[in-house]
Amino acid sequence: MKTAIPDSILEVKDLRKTYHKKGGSAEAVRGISFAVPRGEVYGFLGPNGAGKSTTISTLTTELEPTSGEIWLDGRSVTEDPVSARAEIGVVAQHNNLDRGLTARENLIFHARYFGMSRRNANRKADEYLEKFGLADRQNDYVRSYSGGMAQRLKIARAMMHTPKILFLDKPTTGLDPNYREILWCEMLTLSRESGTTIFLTTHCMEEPEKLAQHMTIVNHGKIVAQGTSSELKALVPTSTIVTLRLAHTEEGFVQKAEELPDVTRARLQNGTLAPYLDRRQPDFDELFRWTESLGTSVLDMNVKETTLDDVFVYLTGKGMNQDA
Amino acid sequence: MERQAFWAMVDRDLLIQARDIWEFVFRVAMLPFILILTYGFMLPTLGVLPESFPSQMFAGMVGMSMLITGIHGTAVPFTMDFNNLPEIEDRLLAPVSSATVAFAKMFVGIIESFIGGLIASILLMGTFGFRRFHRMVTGAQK
Repeated sequence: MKTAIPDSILEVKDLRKTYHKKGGSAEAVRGISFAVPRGEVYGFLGPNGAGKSTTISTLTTELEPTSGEIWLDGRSVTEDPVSARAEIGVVAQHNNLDRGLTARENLIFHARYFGMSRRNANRKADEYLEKFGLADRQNDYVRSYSGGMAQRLKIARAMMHTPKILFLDKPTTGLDPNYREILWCEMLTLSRESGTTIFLTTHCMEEPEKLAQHMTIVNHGKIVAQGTSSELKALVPTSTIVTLRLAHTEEGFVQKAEELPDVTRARLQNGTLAPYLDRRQPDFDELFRWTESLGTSVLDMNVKETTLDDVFVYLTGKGMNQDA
Repeated sequence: MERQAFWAMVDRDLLIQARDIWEFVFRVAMLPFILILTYGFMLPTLGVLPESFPSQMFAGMVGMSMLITGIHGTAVPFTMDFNNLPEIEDRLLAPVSSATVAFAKMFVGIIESFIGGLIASILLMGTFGFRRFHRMVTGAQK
């Protein structure tokens, strides 16, 4: 037994995972360490292929780490993965519901796998079917469920045994914005009621920006930044991002932009140049004159507040939706 | 918890199988039906095999039905689960060892194989009549 940091439910220390294959090995996770505060929504962010899924698989005991330590509520997950699973709820990105069973049976069997009696499982299934608005379709086979309903049921199922931490792997992928809102509302209410910590992985930055108190950004299996949303945004030297869509672009534009006074860094992506300005109010006349001096013109211009996506782009030079 | 989860997994598999009961019966009955047709009627009628051959093949036919049903009840669901249907994930993430999940599946496979043997026996009894079936089982002469 280890004495845990009082307010952290999950601690990860120097976690590594290497896949061995013919002709070499691939290091998916390269020594990451972080702590998840109890009762919070924690964001674990990164582009596709950054090592998020491998990390979540090791944290949920699906994969054995190559090295490193994982502590869940003071108990070692690596030493006793079976006991750790009792405290973990997992909502996978894909639909892994039991298609041969009804929604109600999915919940009841899950609870029984986790050692609940039939009576308690039935009682809790009633409660969750009601809470997630699935009571009227509880006896339908889940293969007849829409994507949104299946997602609700997956979350209800993962919460059936009241886990201490709920791992959500891109939980709202493919859902329309209205449904996302409803789903998050239900999840947050439930987690508050049961004191469950939510560990959210996603490559979409809007949700963690709104919901997560703390977050970690990973890329190429390494942590690139950690902190609260405002701490991460403070890493970008400006609170205002200007993007210029140009009539034509050249690779040299980035270097030329970075030579401008007040520009700390610039990036060029899909014909759009984004100079990171060192001040709040950009001088637009100066920017237009500068683009004309490059022999191009501005087709479109966008000015916005810094988002987590911009933080990621600033730190890695790539967009969140690009592969790592 | 291991024991409780084991029985829950067995219950789950049996419930799913019970829902597809006619598919199960049809699948299990197909092999003995073809064997009876070929070795019990066609070949003895053509004189290729002795008339007593159906009696001799009883044990093999029931055994074969049990074996194939057992394999089908264990290996096929596992192959499907690990390849295209990730339904087993929920059981693998339960706080029990992977061996418990495997034993539950094997246990259900054993139950299914016995039911398979029973179906083959019923089919043989229905085809050859009770008296001949009794001779097949006991090995008694006419």
